[in-house]
Amino acid sequence: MRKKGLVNGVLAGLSILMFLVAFGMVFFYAPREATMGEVQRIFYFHVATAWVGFFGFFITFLGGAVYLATNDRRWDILAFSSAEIGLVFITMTLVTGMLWAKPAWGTYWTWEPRLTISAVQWLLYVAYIMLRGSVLSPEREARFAAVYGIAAFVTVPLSWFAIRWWRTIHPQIVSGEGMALTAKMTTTLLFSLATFTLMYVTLLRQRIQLEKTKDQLATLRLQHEQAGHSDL
Amino acid sequence: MPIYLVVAYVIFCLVPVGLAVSIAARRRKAEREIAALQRSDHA
Repeated sequence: MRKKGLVNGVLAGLSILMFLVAFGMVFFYAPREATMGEVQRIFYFHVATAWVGFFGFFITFLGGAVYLATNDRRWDILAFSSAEIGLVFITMTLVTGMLWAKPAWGTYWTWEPRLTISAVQWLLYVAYIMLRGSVLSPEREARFAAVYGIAAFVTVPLSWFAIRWWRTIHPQIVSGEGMALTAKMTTTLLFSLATFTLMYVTLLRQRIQLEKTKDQLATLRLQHEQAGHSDL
Repeated sequence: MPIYLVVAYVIFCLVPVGLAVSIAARRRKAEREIAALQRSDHA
């Protein structure tokens, strides 16, 4: 227990430190982009939050698949915890993408393929989180969520390939189309990706521990009810 | 500094902190309830 607390503390401290360094790199190390100007700086953390969202949904997919194969609650906890964090980070991606789109495209939102798939993805994972609390039997809930998490993951490759398969105005970063990254920009982006990945790991560990505590509470409540206590 | 950039980085800074605080608060609440149940069992 003490060791877990120490690891959590170290991870949290390192995450904060890396976040501050990444923040400094975005504003003081990365050069001003020629076409979009200062607003292009949104891109570094925008891509990093999208990466964490996608990775979080992949872990939900993986956790769900292993849960279906093993029936081990730990994998269900991993899947659920990761989905919650992934959803928060994808929400940040969507909102900050809109903030970038306004000065870049002249509109906050347009129904082009990448953005449409992102909106569908967001709604699917909001529904996943809402569904988690709505099914009566915990085992049925876990099985249903596992299947749902596997099916919803299809939006991740779809979103990734949307800008390659269809005509879209969304910039293509990996191929370099639409935005030419200098070495300093690439370094800042990679450092931001590493920072947000560490933040994901830190938050995931804490979220898993929360779910385990809730399980412990549910077990105790059941024992309490069976013992005939009714004062709580 | 464009306002869009400022708002975006306020979001990037506050949301992860908010999530961490929310997780910690929910865990503390569950731990308090566990402690209360254990106390009532011992009583």
